[in-house]
Amino acid sequence: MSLPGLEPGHTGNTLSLDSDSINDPINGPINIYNGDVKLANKDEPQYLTLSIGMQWSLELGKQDLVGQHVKIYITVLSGICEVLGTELANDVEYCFQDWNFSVLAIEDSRIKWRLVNLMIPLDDPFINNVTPNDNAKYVYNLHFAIEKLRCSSFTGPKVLILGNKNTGKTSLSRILSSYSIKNKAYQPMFINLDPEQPIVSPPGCIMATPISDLIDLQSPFWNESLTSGATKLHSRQPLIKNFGFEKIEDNFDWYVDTVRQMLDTVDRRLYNDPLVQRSGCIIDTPSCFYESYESFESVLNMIISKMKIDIIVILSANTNNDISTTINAEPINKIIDKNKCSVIKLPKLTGVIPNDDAYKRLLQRLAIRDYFYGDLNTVITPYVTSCDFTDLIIWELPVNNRSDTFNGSANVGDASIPSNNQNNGNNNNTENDMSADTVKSLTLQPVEVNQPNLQHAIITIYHCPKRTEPKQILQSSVMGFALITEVNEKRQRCKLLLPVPGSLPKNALVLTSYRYLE
Amino acid sequence: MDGETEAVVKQFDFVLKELTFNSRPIITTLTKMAEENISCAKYFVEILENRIDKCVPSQKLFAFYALDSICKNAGSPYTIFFSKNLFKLYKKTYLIVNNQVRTKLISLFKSWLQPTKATGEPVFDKTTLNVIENFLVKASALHQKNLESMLPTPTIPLLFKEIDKLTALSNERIKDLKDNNNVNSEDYNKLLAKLEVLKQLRLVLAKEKLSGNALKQVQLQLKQVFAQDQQYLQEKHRIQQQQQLHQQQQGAEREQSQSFISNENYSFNTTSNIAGASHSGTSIIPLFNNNKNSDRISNLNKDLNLQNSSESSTTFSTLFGPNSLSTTASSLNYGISSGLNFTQPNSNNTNNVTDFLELGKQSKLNKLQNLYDSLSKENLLYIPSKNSIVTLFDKLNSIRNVDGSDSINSDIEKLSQKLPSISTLLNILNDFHALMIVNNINLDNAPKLQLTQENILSNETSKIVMDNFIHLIYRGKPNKCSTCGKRYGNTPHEKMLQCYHLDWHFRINRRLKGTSYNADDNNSTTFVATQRNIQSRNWYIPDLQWVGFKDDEIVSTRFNNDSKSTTDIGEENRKRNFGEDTVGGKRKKRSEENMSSPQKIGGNINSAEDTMDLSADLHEHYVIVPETMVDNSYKCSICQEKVTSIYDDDIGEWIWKNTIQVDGKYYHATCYKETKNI
Repeated sequence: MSLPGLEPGHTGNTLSLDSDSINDPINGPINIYNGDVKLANKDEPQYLTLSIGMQWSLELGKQDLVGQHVKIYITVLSGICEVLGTELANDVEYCFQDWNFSVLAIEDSRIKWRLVNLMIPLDDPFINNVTPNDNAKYVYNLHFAIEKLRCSSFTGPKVLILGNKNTGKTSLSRILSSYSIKNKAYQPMFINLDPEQPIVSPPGCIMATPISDLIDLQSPFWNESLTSGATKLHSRQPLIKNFGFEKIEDNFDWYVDTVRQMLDTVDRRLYNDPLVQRSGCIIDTPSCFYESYESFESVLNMIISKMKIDIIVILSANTNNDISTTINAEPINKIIDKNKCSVIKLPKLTGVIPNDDAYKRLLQRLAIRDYFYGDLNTVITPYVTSCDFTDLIIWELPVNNRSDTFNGSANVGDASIPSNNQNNGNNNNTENDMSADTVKSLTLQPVEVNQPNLQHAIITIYHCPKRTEPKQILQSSVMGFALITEVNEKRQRCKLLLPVPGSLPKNALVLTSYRYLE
Repeated sequence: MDGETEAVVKQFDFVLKELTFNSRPIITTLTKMAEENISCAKYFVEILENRIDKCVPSQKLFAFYALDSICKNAGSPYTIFFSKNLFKLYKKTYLIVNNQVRTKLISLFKSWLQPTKATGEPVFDKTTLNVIENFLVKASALHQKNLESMLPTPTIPLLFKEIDKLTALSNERIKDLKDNNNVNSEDYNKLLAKLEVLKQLRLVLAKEKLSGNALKQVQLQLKQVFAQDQQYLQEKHRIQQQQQLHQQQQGAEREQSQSFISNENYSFNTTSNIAGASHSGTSIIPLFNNNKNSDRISNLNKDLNLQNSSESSTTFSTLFGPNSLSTTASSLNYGISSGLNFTQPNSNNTNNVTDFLELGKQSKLNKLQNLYDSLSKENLLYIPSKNSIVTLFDKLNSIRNVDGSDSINSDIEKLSQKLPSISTLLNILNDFHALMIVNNINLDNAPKLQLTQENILSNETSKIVMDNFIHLIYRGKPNKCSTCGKRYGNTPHEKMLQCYHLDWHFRINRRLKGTSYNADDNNSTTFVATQRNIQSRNWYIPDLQWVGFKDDEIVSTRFNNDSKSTTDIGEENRKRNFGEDTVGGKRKKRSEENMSSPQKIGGNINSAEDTMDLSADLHEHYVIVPETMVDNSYKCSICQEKVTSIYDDDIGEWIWKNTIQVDGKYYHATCYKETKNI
């Protein structure tokens, strides 16, 4: 390092970060972060300097004053920045829309950004939200500890992430997944168990996919699933299991069964795919796993034993430092074998933007649109077809809200019946031991084809013929989804939107509780 | 405006637009039209005025000629209409055209002052012409003044100035010698003598009136001496500039203060320069002339000016707040260091005027130096430390200066062109730093990374991770893909992966943009259509298939795999079904296999003449466009048709369809077959 004046520390001083603004000889005046970002002119490109460890949170899930969705274009001019673990290329303009995320500066970075159609007050906090990310270091610690485990064994670390609402569980999963493919070409299996949040899939599904290449940092849904043409980034080949309800408690038994099926399949994939096996698993869970822990004890037990979970990460609801002392009081300790499984408690991630229902709905709607029409970078064309009512045989599962499972621990035993059997490995006996209630929850009922039932509905297409036994349908795999755009009762015909050109496959169809109005 | 008028006006407009050069016929035509259609005068005037106003400056004169011709030949009512806006147009035109055109405009105006034969009166009314005349008088006065200021200044003051300069140079040398403790050397004494001579010369010049010849001789001699001293000084500067900036500044300080003391005798001239430092070199002349007449007054002047200058510098330092001062001061540093370079005169052609300006600059510098001194006395200056980027910049900058450029602005420009940006330099350093660390760390030997609650939350672990391990996922792999940000390392394997990755981006981008599709059918008609990247989502694969799926099938960017993993299993199946039914399909398959061994391409596909008897097969012939081709197309020398390349999705290459390569030349496969049979 013989060049005088170029040690990082020195230049850091030269670009003193406490002055209001300095003139960059090449790029003109720049705004330096000193508590707030000044907006000179809303259409002009703005410059922002993020010093190391700072995080710029952007809340684009909101609408502006005239109901437009805010679009922001971000270019990293120098330094290193990442969005949820995925690094931004320098001098490439990225467009973001409709989701809440944050840009973390790994090094002092200069960012150029501009907003399109901005109709929000210039002092709106959504563009001014730059805070130091204090907890990023814990995530790094965790990542490298996991990475160390990957190096040392052929069965990679299986991480289960639990935590309260809005603590950053999905963000943590995404960051860990992104980091794990950076150093070596690992392909960790990511599993999303929250049907309310769409990842690589439309909403209402749980999903598993190996993270084998970059996660699309512009997408709230991580990646596209495979298309027939070229996509900017490699797309995923996911395993999708359809749950179809909006809330887990709408049909708890079916949820448990879906998870069980999924984990079985994943387990077989891991067996077949040594690279994925070695890279381990990262499992994201809905917050109710942790919050209504008693009701989900059986599910948790099933996951832990089936996936051979060895790390449980609990994201604490608060950011204070007495985490280490409260860890022993975690209820989760009751059900795990401390010898096989280490429990790590982390403070809530910095800069988590609380999700409200409106934002959740927005993402779900976007995910459906994304499935049929593609995203900002990839335009895909769906196919409109129509069919007679007589051709349609549509099934649905009953809503079976067993309030008891959520209001007390009295009936935990009942709920855990299927999974307990799974634990013993007696797959064949499951049906015999089911309680009447469970049987009812898992019985498909035919849906009457009419407008109120089907208009704008998303239906799941299974990989099994139309006339398959209802019980068999639920065991088979998901082929895709279709959207019923129009139900014409007079002409007894339906219009459908299919993702793939062709007529409606003569396969089993199951109605979901999701509706989408184009 | 009725139809007929409209037509005439349109024609007038049309003809006028042709007037892009000085053309007599066009002007005559326009004049004739104006004469014949007096009823349209209003419109003509409007159009012509518009033309003068809107057309490019170089053509304005011709439009004025047209106006002139119309007014002189057709007369009223055109003169009346035109005189309304004439001044405005004339002034506007005059101000934006060059001097040549201005002269022509003036002679045009002069012609307007002449009474016409018809009326015995000038073309336009008197008030209009008067306004224009006033304007022209003012304008040319201004013009004259500019010229005068460029003229060489009177000789005596010039000589004075040169004497001053020489004195300054000599003083500098004296100071130099003093610095080096050479006070007793011969040079030193010589210089002192020289100073004395100069002093006397000055007195003589001031008191006596010398003849022009004598003055000239003095001038010549002075110049000779001057050239010698300059040479010496240039050398000195070269040495000086290689020193650190602050040293330079200190040197300048000393130098400056010294010159102030020893310059006392002559300083009235310098100070008067300060008074007139605002570049207006002329203002110094009358001032000097006064001094020549009475030394007493000049002494008074001197004292006053000195006082003024010192006063102004102190008020400066109190004017600025302490915060803004530091920034001004650092910019001052630049000013001074660059200014010092100005004292280096151009040795051979010492143009009088530039010398003069230089002296003005020097005195300005003195002022700056004063300010700088007082600022540094108050500890208000930020002097960059030895290791700062400012010092580095200055060093590089001064090296440039020796090379002969003389303006700091152009230096900065050159510098920023030659040097990579700070961020690039930082990038390199950080990458290097990270590489050094990454080479020496091992995840296995990190006990702190044992997965326990204490370790994860301990600051100690954080420190180790943030200092070392973090580089594993960032700069430890220094080659960042400029498209997607994915990082690659420096090992041969990683480099190869990056190559494949970049190729993949390239192919994908080409497909995303859509390809120009060129199809040759039997009639040899060529059409180009754009093949867009139209795609739809795939069905999910059945669970059983997923269990056996390997993600390498999607993410592999290896070329020979790519045709198989076109990210579409359905497509793959389709290819299999259609492909193997036809001969062509087989050929394609074969060529695909050949892709992995490029050296075979020429042999196997292109000169496969033995299979050419299958005419259906002919169209399946293709040649992969060689990378050396510039324009992706060739001309079939048999049918003279141009063949452009198309992109083949299956093999991921640009190809010429229906093409065969024989002896390094390309032909349509069909054409070649036909001619061969004959």
